Amino acid sequence: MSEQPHNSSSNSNSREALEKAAMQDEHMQDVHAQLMREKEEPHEGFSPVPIFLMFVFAALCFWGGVYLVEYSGNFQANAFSPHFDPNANAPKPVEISLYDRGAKVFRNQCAACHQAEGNGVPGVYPPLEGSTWVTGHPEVVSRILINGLNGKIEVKGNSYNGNMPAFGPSGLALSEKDLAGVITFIRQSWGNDASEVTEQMIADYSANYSARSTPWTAAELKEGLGPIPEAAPAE
Amino acid sequence: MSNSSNESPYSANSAAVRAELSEIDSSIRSAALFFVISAVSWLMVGTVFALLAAFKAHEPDFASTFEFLTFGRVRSAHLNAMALGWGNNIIFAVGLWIMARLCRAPINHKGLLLVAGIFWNIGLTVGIAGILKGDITSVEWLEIPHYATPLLAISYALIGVWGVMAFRFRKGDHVYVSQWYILAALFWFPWLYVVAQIMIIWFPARGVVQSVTNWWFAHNVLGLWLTPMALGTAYYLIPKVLGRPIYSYYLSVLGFWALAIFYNWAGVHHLIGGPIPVWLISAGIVASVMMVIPVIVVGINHHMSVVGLHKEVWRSPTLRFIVFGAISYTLVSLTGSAMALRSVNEVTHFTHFTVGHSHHGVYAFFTMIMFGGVYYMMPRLLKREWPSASLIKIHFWASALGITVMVVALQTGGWIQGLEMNNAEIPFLETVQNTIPWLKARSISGVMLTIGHIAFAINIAWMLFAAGAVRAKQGPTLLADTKEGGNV
Repeated sequence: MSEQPHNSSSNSNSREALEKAAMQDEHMQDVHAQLMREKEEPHEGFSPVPIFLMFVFAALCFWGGVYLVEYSGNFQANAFSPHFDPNANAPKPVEISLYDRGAKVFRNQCAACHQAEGNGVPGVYPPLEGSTWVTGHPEVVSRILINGLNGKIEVKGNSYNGNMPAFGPSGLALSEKDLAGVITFIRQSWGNDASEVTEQMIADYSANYSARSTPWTAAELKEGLGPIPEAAPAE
Repeated sequence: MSNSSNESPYSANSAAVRAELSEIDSSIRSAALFFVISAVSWLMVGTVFALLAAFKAHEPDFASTFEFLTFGRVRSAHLNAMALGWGNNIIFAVGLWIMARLCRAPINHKGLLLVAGIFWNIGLTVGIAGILKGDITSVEWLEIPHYATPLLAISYALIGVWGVMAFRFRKGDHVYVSQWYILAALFWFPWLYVVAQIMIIWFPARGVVQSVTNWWFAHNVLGLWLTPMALGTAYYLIPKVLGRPIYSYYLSVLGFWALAIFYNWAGVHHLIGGPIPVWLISAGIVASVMMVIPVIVVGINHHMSVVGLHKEVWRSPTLRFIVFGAISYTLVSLTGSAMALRSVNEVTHFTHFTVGHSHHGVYAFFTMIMFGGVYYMMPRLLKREWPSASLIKIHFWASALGITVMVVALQTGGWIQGLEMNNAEIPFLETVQNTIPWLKARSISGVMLTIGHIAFAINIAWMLFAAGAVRAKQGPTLLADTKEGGNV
C-alpha cells in the first residue's frame, strides 16, 4: 500500500515543502489515496508478431480468395445461388441440320462437276438428280463417297467413264458429319426422296472401308451390301 | 513485487502527471457520473423488460393482458434500453473518460456535455415509451419511432464531439491503442446510425437494399461501436491496473486495422439464403471468417499482457470483470465466424442459437468489460472506495454464471432446434415445444443476471450517497486478501 505520502526528502524547495505539508494532512491523504497508488498511464511493448500467426493469416486470406471465386456468382447482380453457373444461360452453338450442312459441303466440293442442280454434265459427269445410284441403298452412295469410283457406270440410261475422287479418310478426308450431310443432301434434293444417312451410319461404313485403298467399280458397288439401318425418326 | 521504498513500484513517478490526471477526472466528473447513473438505471429497466420477454417465451399468457406488455414490444424495449440506454451511456462515461485521460486533455465546457447527455436520455425515454405505445418500427435494432431518432442523433453528435475534441487537443506524440479504438468508434457510430435511419426510415431504399442496410447496421453496432469501445477500455485498464505495458504495439496495430477493414462487411451473413446477390453474402462470409485475424491478435496481446499475474487479476474487481470479458471476446468472435459459414448457418439461422450468440457478445464481452471500467473509474471520480467487496463478488458471480448458463442453454437448445427444423419428418410445433426447457433455463439465467445487477446498483447507490462512510485511506476494495501493494 502506498499510503505513505510521496516523500521527496532530498532537495526541498518551497513548493515541494508545501506539497509535503499538504500530503501529511489526513484529509488530503484520504482524498488523494487513489491518485497516489495510481500506476503510470499505459504504454506498449514492442514484442514482434509471432511468425506462426503470419502463416495462419496467409492461409485465411488464401481460403477467402478461393471461397470468393467459388461462391461469388461471378459477381453478377442477378446471381442468387452460391452454385450459380455463369455459363448456364450462355447461348449454345447453333446446330444446323444434316441437310443444310450437306448443302454447304455440296456447294464447295461437288457442284463444280455435278453442277448446282445436280444434273451433271452430259457425257462427262453423271447427274445425281434422279440417279438410282444415289437414291438406292445408302451403302452404295456411301461407298462411292468414301473410296471414290473408277470406270464405266451407267446412269439414267447414259454411260459415263470417269474418276470420282475419294472423300473418306484415304482421300480428301471430309469429316463423318460432312459426309453424312452431303449424302443426305443429294438423296433429298432436286426431287430425290430417299432416306437420311446419319453420322453413325457413315462411321460404321468408314470403319468397314477406310482400309480399302482402291476406288470402287460399278460392278462391285452392289455386292455384299448390309441391311439398310433404321433411319433416325424424323423430328 | 515488494515495496522497496515508501512508494509503490507501480506508481506513476511524476507528481505532475498525477495532478494532471486528477484535473482531468474532475473536469469530466459531473457528466461521467450522470452517464453512469443513467446507464445503470437503463440497465435495471432493460433487465425488467428482459425478464418479461424471457418468461413470455415459455409462458405466453404471462402479463399479456396489457397491450404494451406484449412480447414484440417488450423484447424491442429490452433491446433498445440495453443497447442505447445501458450501452451508449456507459460508453459515454467510460469511453470519454479514458479518451480524456489518454489525451491528457480536460473536458472543457463540461456543462454542455451534461446537457447533451440529458437530451440523449430524454430522447431515449421518448423512444422506448413510443415502442411500448405501439409506434415501433418494423426494423430490428431501429425500432425507436421516427419522432425520437433526430433527438438521439443530434444529442449523440454533441456528446461524441467531446471525445474528438479531447483528441484534437491531446498532449504528447504517441497515440495509444485505446485512443484509436475510441476515436474510430466515435465516428463509426454516427455514420452507421444516420445512414441506416436515412436509408430505412426517412427515405426508404427500395426492396432488399433495406434488409442489407438493416443487417449492415445491426451487426456493425456490435462490431464498430460496442466492440472497439470495450477493447479500448480493456487495452487501457489491463496495463493500468497491472502496471505493465501492453505486450506488443505491432499486434495492436494489426488488430485495430483488421477490425476496421473486415468488420464492416460481415453483417450480410445474416441474410444467407435471402434474395440478394450472392457475391454480397459470400463477401460477408469471407469477412466474417477474416475477423479471426483481429480476434486472435487481440486475444494474444491481452493474454501476454496478463500472463503470470493471474492472482492480481483475481484480486482486482476491475480486472476480474475485464479478463472475463476479454476471454469472452475471443470465444464469441470465433463462434460468430463459424456461424457465418453456410453449412453452420443452415442449422443456426432462425433459432435461439443466434440469440445466445448476441448475448454472448453484448453481455459476456461488452458489458462485463464495462462493469470492470466502472469499478475502476468510480473511485477516481468520487474519491471514495467501493463500499462492499461482497456485493462486487455477488455481482461478478451472478453475472458470470448467469451469462454462462444463458449462452450454453440457448446455444445447445438452438442447435437442437436447428437440426429438428431441418428434419422434414418432425412437425414444426414439436420443434417449438422442444425448446421450452432451454427457454426456462434462459429465464433462470436472467434471474441470476438480475441478482448481479441489483448488487451492482446497490453498491453504486451506497457509494454515491453514503459519502462520509467510506474512506479512501483504508485502501482499495479488493476481492481477495493481499499482503502486497494495493491494486484496483
